[in-house]
Amino acid sequence: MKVPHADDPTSFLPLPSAPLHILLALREGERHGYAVMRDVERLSDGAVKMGPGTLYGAIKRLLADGLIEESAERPDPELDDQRRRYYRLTGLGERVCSAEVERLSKLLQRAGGGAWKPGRTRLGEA
Amino acid sequence: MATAFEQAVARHRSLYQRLLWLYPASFRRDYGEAMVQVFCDRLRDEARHRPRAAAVRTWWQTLGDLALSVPDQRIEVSMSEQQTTARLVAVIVAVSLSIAAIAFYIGVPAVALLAAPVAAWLVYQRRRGRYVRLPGQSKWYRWVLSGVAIFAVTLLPFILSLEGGWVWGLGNVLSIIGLLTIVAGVAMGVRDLLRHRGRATPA
Repeated sequence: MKVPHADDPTSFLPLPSAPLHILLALREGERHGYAVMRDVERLSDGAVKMGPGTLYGAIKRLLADGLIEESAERPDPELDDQRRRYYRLTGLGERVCSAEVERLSKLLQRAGGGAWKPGRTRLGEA
Repeated sequence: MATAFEQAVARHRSLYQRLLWLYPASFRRDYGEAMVQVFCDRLRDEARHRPRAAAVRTWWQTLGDLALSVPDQRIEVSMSEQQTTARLVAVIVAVSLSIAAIAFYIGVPAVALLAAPVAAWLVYQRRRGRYVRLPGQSKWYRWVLSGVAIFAVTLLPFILSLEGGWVWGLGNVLSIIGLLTIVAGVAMGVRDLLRHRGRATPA
């Protein structure tokens, strides 16, 4: 297993489901915890539902890896609760997210390229 | 005056806050307040769409989340504590054996002369409020330990007074391999330490 390193985004791959969905949600801009949770549900058509523990467990790891950071700014301080914590992608997080999306795209291409079709149980099975 | 709904939210909030004690203290300290906020946001959101089933739906999801994330966080904290202890013990043993082995070859005064700058550097770092931390996922200490083990074997000919002959020659070759393994491990440790410094740190 590779040791994750900032110079090599692929060293963070493959990303587990929750961190990947959080990175995808934050790609659209900075969000607070509940907004991330809603966006994850929307992006996955309701297939991925995170509770507070799963959400902040994944956020903790993403912060530790330097893939996201906490933002001090508030989109609208008048309207928003000051206690809310906002998060945004770092440059490294953006690169890691792109690398993971590319990896999954390639995987899907290969899966759809004749080697595997839905209904078959093994790769290459006739 | 709080509405009946807000009073109900406060009751649910209080219950969820109590359940947060299931999480490790560090996790609760860092994210407890934010988790409670997310829980209340979910409850209010559900109430807007399905007023009658809001509490049931929110708690159904939250209990499932607790069942999965509490063991996850507990295991993570337990593993990191065990790893830190194991690494500390490994490094203390490795350093002690290395010093003993080198002292055997070059003498105690020479070791003291070599160790003095290292000790001075550690004291200097400590006084500046820095702590020498063990790098995260590195395997460098395994290399150091393996090197020390090989090096320790080379001491046997000396201990058993088997000077001369093929045993002596083999001991010399092994001692060089042991030293090179230790140097490689230390180099990996330094590389990892530099990488960790270069990585972004959380706000």
